[in-house]
Parts: sequence; C-alpha cells; structure tokens
Amino acid sequence: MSAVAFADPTFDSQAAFRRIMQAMARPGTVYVCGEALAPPAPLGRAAAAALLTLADFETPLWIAPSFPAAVADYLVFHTGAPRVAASDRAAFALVDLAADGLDLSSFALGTAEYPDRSTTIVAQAASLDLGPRLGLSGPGIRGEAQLAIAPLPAGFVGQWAENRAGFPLGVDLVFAADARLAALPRSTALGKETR
Amino acid sequence: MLARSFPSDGRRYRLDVRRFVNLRGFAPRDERRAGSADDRRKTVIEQVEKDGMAARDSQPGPRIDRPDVAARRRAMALLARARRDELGDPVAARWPDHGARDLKPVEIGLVMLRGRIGGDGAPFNLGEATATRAVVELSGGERGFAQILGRDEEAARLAAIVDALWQRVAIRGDVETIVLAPIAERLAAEAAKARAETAATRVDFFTLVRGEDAA
Repeated sequence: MSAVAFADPTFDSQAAFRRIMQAMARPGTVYVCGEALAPPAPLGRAAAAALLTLADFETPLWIAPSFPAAVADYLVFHTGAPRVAASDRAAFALVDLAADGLDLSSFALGTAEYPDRSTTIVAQAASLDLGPRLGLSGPGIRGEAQLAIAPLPAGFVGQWAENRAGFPLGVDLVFAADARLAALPRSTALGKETR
Repeated sequence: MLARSFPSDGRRYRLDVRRFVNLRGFAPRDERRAGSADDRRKTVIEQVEKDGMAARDSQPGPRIDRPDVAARRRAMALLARARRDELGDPVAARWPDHGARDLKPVEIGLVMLRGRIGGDGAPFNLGEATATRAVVELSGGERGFAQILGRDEEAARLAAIVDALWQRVAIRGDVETIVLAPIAERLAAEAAKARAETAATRVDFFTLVRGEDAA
C-alpha cells in the first residue's frame, strides 16, 4: 500500500512552508512541522514535510543510499521531483545523519553568479536537543542560539566553518527529527562544541 | 488525454495539455456567492502544480509505441470523455468492492491548451481549461490515474477507479465490454452526428464562365 502525503496539498504545504521559512529566519529555533504525515519508515515526518513542500518537478532531488526504495518512491510520486545520482547536482538532498554521516563538500555550493543554486540538505537526526551543544550566532539570532544535534556528524564544526568561508556560496541545512525541525542557513556561524 | 482534434471546420487543431495549475482556494462563481464569509476570506492561491507527470506532458516526448501502452492510452482517453453515470453505474453494479482510496486528494485545476493549426503548425496557447484529476489505489495495489475536463470530482475519481480495474488482467475484458464499449459507441455516434450536421452546411465554390471570355 502506498502512503498518502498531505491531506490538502495546497494549504498543508503552505503551512509547512511558513514554518520552514520561519526556521530559516530564526536559525536554531525548533519548529513543529508535518505532524499529520505518515511517511514510510525511516523517513521522519518533518523531513517528509520539508521535501513535500519544497521539492517539485524543477528541483533535482538526491536521496542518500541508506534510504529504502519506498522512501524514494513516496517522495518522487508526491513531488514529481527528478532524482539525480550526483549529489552536487541536487537542489535538495535527503540524508540520514546516523546512517550516512554528512560531507558538506559533496553538495552543490552555487556559483558566484547564482549563489542560490546550491543544495539545501534535509538531514534527518535522532534528536535536536540531546547532542553536543552548538552555539549559533549571526543574522536572525539575538545573542546566541543553541542547537544540540544527535548524532553530530564527524568534524561538523570544521566542515561548517569551511562552508561559511565561501559565503555567499554554501549549502543550507535543515535538521529534522521526527516532527520537529530547525535550520542552519549558510549565514549562521557555529561556536565551539560544549559539554 | 485531453488532446483532441475538431473536425467540424475541416482543419485539425491538435491540443496538447500543458502544466496543471491547482485551483484550490478558488471556487466557481456560483459557489463563491453562496459560500461562507470564511470561504470568501480565503487567500486566493495559485499554486503551480508539482506533479512531474503534468510537466513532462508539456514537452512532446517520445511516444511509446508498445501495444499495452497504446491500449491503456485508448482506455484512458475514453474514460476522460465519459459521463459520470457511464462510469458510476457499472462500477456500482459490478465492482462495488473495489476498495479504492485516494493516493492524492482529487484536484481541480487549470491546464493550458496548446493548439497547432493543421496539427503541425507552430504551437500557440489556445486558452486554459478547467480540469480535474485523481489518483487512486485499489486494495490489490493497482494504481489508476485520470484527468478529465470540468470540475466533476466524482467523475474523475470513477475514471481513475476504472483505469485501475482495467489493469486487472482477469477482468479487463469485462471492463472493455461493460464500461468502455458504450462510451466509445456514444462518442462515435456524437462525432458522426456533428459531421453530418456540418456536411449539410457545406458550400462548394466553383467558377462559372466569366463575362470577358464570352465576349
């Protein structure tokens, strides 16, 4: 049996879009998203909501090999997004932090003329508040925000510093754990890991 | 499915369906007047539909010339032009336990119709038409698709159900004779009537001997 996506695609995806936009505008703040969805395992509800909302037939989608075919079928059927084999050609990417890790340099960074042509990575995490604490600062953050991704990919703080160094080029990240998500846009600086 | 040619004026206009635009949030004029204040406040949304299927239709891709594809294409074309009772009555009578459920909510939207004069001229946008489409899955896992002109959601869902039933090889013959054959018959009769009515108004021009030649 195939899974159903948004009950009302127009209004539900608008509601999800609003929350994703808010999450991008307030890096590190956790938003609830996609509560009503029932995507095929192991795809989480917030990750599914983000991709169902953002991906469409014009946005190449790269899905990490750890996800089973049912997840790819679900996303492709409901969004119409073309799948690409090369992650650096993707507009959106779906990775599972526990199973795939994360290598930011393998994704599209955009070009000097079109910095927006970079990959937005939807990274599925186990939790957004049980990992090592990261201090976030930059546009959209008063003082410092905190995020505690678990599992945190190896060398993530260093990778993120490198991603920041190429600004305005670089990838944007959406971390999703079940029905919650938080964003880490390329404008945000990461402090040291604590704890 | 919506591609048609109109034989009535002797020329053929080939219509291709362009991208499907969702009309959720819009209501037809009569419903809008009767709607609640809440409905009237609803933001008017025009969401470009995200289904790749419709997008790929916009390019004249390679036609797949396999017999099974051609047969399903023919069946779906008939279903797209069926009236609701032509689908609903036989389904209710013969296959009431189809167990179909919507994989995507039935959508009402707009499709751009592109015309080509004579079938091979330069394409132009003829205008937009309201269309409704449905995707259903039967209990056996068959997926049915339908896209019809107009706003009849139930007809679109029934057309998708019949498309899914048609894919069950065991009952395909029954679907052909009970559902599709009467539709094909009615369409043929209507086309013949239109042709006959047009033929009655036909004028043939020919030149008589001109005055200067006779002098």
